Amino acid sequence: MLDAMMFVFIHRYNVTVLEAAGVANIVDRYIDEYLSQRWMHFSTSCCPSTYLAGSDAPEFDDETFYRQSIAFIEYRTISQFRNGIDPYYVDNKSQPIIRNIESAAFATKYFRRATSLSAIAVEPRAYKTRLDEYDNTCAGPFLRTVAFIHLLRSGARSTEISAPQMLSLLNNTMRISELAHIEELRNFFGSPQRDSLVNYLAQAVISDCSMQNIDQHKLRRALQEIVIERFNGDLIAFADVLWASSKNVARHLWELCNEAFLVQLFFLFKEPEMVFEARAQMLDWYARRFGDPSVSEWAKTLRLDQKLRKIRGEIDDNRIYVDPLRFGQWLLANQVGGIAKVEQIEAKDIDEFRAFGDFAFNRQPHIQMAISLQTAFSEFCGDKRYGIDSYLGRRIRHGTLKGVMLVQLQSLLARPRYQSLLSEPSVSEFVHEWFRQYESNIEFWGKEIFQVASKLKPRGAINADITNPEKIVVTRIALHDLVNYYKEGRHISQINQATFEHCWRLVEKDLLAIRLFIDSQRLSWGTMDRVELQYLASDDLQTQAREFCRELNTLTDEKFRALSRWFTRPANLAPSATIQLLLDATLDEMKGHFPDFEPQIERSGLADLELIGMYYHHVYDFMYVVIYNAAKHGKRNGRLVEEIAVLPGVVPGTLEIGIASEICEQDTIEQVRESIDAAMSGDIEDAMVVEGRSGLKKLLRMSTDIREIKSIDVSYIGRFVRFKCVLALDFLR
Amino acid sequence: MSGLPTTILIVEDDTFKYDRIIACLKNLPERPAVKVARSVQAAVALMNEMRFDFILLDMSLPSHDLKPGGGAGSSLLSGGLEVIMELSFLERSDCVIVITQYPEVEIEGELVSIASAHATLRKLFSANIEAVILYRHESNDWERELLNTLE
Repeated sequence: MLDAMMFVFIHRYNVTVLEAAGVANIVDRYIDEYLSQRWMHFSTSCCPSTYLAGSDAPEFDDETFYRQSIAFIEYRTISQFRNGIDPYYVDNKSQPIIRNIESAAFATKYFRRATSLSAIAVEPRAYKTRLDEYDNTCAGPFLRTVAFIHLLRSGARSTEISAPQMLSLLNNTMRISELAHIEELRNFFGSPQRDSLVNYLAQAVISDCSMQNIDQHKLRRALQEIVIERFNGDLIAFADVLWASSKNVARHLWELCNEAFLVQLFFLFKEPEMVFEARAQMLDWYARRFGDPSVSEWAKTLRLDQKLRKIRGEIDDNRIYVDPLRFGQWLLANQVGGIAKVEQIEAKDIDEFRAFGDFAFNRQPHIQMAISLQTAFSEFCGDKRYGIDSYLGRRIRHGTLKGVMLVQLQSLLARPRYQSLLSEPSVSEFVHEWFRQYESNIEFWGKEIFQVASKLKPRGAINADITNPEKIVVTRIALHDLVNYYKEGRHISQINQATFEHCWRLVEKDLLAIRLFIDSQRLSWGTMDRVELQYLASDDLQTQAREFCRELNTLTDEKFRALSRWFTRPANLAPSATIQLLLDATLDEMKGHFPDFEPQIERSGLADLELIGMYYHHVYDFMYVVIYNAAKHGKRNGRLVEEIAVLPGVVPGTLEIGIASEICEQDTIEQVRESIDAAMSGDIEDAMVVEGRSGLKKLLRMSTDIREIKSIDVSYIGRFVRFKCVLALDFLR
Repeated sequence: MSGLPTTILIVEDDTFKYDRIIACLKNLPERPAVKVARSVQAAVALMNEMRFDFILLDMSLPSHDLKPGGGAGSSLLSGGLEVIMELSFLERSDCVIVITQYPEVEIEGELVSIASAHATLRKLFSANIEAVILYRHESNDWERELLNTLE
């Protein structure tokens, strides 16, 4: 009732909507005069919003004010401001707000000083939220955005301003692609853009708004054009230029340049490894320019994983596959912030988890954790570039399913030895009908069954819902595990590794069902009935009929088994590496720096020990520093001894990695000892950030900072320098 | 396009299917000059070098050619669209024949049946799309359709 009264009073007295609608007198008849006078008194008094303190980020004060202004809506100034501004600030996917006469008048008056794009493209000098009129010298991004939409709808065109002005305009506005309609933006940027920067900006806004493939292609083209023509193909140089003048536009470029986008910049990156390097460079750039070193770690992970993958060789493409590198990058990009209030999650909450609920229900910390897992699992299953769906599309739907299942079988029909049998009409009809059914079933599998279930593919055998009854037990185990990881403060790479593992366990339920399904179907329609065929064949062809059936059924048995194996998780796809692989990767990299580095490698101990997640990054860092120094200062064709040992009787498992290298002929071991002691002494605070050093100080820093590294020390034996790294490995417990 | 094609680009990463297409082209009265691209990147590069009378296009393609030790390209299930969009962008009239093994083509996130794919592609993109053909290992129908379109 109170809300209804507020609505009536606001629309009668604050804004004259009811008057314009010709119903004011009806309202007046039912409202006590004293009440209306009091309303007028209070609604025109000074709005308490005037006294709100500014925030630490004053550029966002106008948006914060706008969002909170509903709390002061009974004040006339606020009502009139919202009545005039709201129609501009409606999401383009929502129904527009129909503007009343007073709203239009307010907008004209409010924006009387914002009559052209150039008037709102000048950078602000300070920030102040004004409700009486738009003031470009102090308008924040929210009001500038509204002013832009106002001008856009008044017929402004991009050609009215220069490229730097456009950059400034976009840098100081927000959500334009969500507010403006695509037709409005196409008209705004309608004229051919001669300036490649304006063209890039135009395509970026249009593409963000339309989300259509053709606009995304134009954006990729525009970006490549400016980077190639004006920055000699250097994407980072372009990012730097944007950053220098327009940080928000630069950040938009960074957000745009994920791997999926970069991989389609075919003129800039002609080899796939160039894409990974470009991504890593963009991550480093962001870390440097926006002061977020954790993003640099992400780049490091990407480079190392890419290196390891190259050394590992090609994947087993016959088994279902999710690219751990790309999925790992997605996890880093989407789950870096972690989950809030994990410490509040209790085991019983997870044990009782069955399904998601409404907004309030989903805000509970354990549900947030489940939502995070659900998001990751949806990506794991549904991503079309590296997820399960990518594999299904490539290997099964588009590729080899029919070829593998059918072609060899059909060759039986052409065998000379079966020609007499197949020339008998009744046999021929029976066999060809069997083949038709068989082919139709295989087609059905590809089209309907070997799919990620969705509205369009309801029979899809891969179910990406973690609350599915078949999966809920595995889901709860995963949630317990992940909560423990968060509570223990585990490194993000360990959490992501665990998430990857649990996604495989979740999908294993479906894979098992598919394998059982394939086996059952083989018995149903994947074998030919020998008795039936022999019944149809004439007496003198009974042997041929039996042989044909036996050969066909042996083949289908083989094919169905092979198909079943496709739905088995590959054993070697976790983001992990053996110590031997890490050493190979390090040596490979050193040869890039020192082409004549040809050490005689001697390995002893457990070189094939598999390290997972962050452990292999630590070991790689250790090896890199040690072998880099061996290559730079030591005997390049000398002996390099790698010794790996798991120390007995120590809990938790302790791994010792020793690398000994031979020193140069002209050096004495004393000289080398002095050099190393000097390199490792002094302040280690800047050891991880200062470039151009031997890196030996980094070893000291690693042993101080990294919980899993127990010690790193150096010893001298004969003409050898030996570095030893001792790690505590949880997984050896 | 009038007369027989003299230059054809085949964009196809499946060797088996590529061999079948090449064998099929031998049935043309005059042999065209054929270029092959096994990835979207290679196709886009070739298209920017020269014009073709016909482009025979698979839809599911890798982003880049696979090179030993060169890392893996990305699998683009609708990679063929990139080729079509490049033609649109270049305002080129090279005739495109989509030859796909799957009865549905993903366009703008929707699965479009092969019967509707031709009209949908022509509506969305300004490239000169002549036909969308369903390829089948075991059938010769697609060969007849391809030859008819080429002739």
